[in-house]
Amino acid sequence: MSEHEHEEHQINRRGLLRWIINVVVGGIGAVLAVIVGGAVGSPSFRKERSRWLPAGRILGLQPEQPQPVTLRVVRKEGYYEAVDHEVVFLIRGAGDKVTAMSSVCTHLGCHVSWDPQGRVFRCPCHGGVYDITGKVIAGPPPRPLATYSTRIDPDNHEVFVEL
Amino acid sequence: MASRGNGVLDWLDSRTGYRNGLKHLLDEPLPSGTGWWFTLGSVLVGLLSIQFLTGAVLMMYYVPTPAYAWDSVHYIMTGLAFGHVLRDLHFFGASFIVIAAGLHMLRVIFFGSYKKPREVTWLSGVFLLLLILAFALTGYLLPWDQRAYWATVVTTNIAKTAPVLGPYVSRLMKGGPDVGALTLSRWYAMHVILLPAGLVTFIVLHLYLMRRHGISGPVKARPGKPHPFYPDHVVKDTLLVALVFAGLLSFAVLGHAPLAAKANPADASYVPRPEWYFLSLFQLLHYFKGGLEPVATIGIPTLLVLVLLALPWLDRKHDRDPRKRPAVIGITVLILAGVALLTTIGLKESPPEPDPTIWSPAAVAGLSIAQSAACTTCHAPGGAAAVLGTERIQHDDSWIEGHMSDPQMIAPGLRPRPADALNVLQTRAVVAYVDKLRLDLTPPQLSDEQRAAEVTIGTRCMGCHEIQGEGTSSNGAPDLTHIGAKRDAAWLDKWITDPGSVDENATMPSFGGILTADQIKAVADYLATLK
Repeated sequence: MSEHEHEEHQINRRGLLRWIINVVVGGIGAVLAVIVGGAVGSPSFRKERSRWLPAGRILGLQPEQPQPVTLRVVRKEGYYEAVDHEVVFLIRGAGDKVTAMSSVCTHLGCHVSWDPQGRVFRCPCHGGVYDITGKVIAGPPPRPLATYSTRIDPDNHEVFVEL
Repeated sequence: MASRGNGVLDWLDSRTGYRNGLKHLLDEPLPSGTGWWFTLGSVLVGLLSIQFLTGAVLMMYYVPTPAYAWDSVHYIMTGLAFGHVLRDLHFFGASFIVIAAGLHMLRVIFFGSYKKPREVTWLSGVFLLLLILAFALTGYLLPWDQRAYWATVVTTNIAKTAPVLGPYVSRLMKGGPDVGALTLSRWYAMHVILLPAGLVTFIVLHLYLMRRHGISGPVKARPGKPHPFYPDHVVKDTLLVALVFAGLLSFAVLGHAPLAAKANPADASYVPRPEWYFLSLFQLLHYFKGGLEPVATIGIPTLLVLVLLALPWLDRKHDRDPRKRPAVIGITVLILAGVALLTTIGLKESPPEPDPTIWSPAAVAGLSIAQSAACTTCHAPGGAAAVLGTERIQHDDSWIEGHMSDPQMIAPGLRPRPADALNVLQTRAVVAYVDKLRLDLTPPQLSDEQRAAEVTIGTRCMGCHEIQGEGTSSNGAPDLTHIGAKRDAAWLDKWITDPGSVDENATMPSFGGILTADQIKAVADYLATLK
């Protein structure tokens, strides 16, 4: 082997060694990235499960009279459970159908209350007014009040609201 | 590699001079014959980097407080994608590091690499080993399970045996008279800030000194040109690191880092044991009792560390050949054999770890109480309290016991008082059940007879007997874990109904009038299966 050939051989060998190092280190890095990525990212992109919360008996509701009930909502935050109290209006309609309406004004998030004289929901902050179906009839709110699914337990007439 | 590059890198190099720095780091000439034995340091750097990375992610979820530490670790294991692999990498990584550090040190001892002029490199290495052991010790407490809690009680009691300063050191370690919230947070601060800072400092020092004196190389200089560190030696480092990483990953994926029941300072029935690498020291305590105890707890470990620190000055001859250093090699081998022997005995004598996922009779009994009116009057859908199993149990075991045994505590004037408070055995059974709830375990499918037997055993027999590590064993009643190997169902039935008819000196009360014949038969049949 001439001096030149020897040098070329050395350069090829070095190139191969560098390639091996890069591939192996890259492989270890990729495995760790998947594990770390999964552990860091999974709670950020988890879908929150909805829950059916008991909200009292249908028999206690006057027809067409929105009744505010406070629901205890337990939100799982990893190892911690945050407890929120959310107020929803239950409205018993025709055929014992029950509507659950959010009490949060769609304008800036104040809590609306039911005005039994005017038969409307009024927001105390900026004068938003909604009718009994949640439709905006005056003021700045951009959307109607949100509603939640409900179901009624046929055995004990308990109303459940999905939050 | 300096010749290639684009405009941005050229600019960066002109401002930082990084290419020269990199070249200086990578072009270190290594003596001819520097082989695989000299890759252990890189393995340690690799393993420690993995600990840093996994540790940082664990810190995103872990909270160092008795109320949540256990729950946060449980969440890491069950609630995160790859969470169990993440924790296992960190857990088994610690063992891998202790082994790699031990092998690295043995390599240095056998190759005589600590000799002049590398004495300070050796000293920094000994400090690194001590730091690694301190990491292991502080990390052990953090999951806040029974294992962690009781092992730390032992550790801090060992510190107490040191002469003169012992009691003060022990209090300083605990942050008070007992292992508790303050212990957890100060060990956490050590584990995640102070020890890493110390570790990085000493690694930098260690590597700087290694470069300053060059690698010691083979015991006898070999002919041949020195070869550059990169890529010739780095490829060996990389391949060994990859092999070790594959091993660690297998442990992490297939193994299970233990998480015992949540720490309960009131339940001293847990037999603590240290991690395997401290087992030999722990085992020494069996042979030094009473006044001699400090010999094992403080004397021998201190002596070992002092001898390690002084090694370059105890063995000052120039020759590095292990065959010409019989004293150093002989003593090293003797110490290794001693550690191996003590560890083996320690492993053999360790009581079996109770499996927290097995539904014991007490837990089954607790479940049946939890489903009875005693609990479901309030813990019901739409009831005064949440349905058991749907929400995290915030309270610790002693609160739960109080909650059930003292009606005033259950209902301070707000809720209807229950007709009967539960007795001690029933409350303990519910606590055993709550421990299963915390682990999200589903109740086992049991036949009616089996359930009746386990409920009776959990609420009656375990007042005096111990089964599978649960119950009481202090009053002379035998442990029933393997009773089926000694007695058959018929004998047990007769004995439980009326012990006096079998042995007139029997001290166990007769249960013939307390339990129904069906209950006794179910219990006897069940016990007969415990072989």
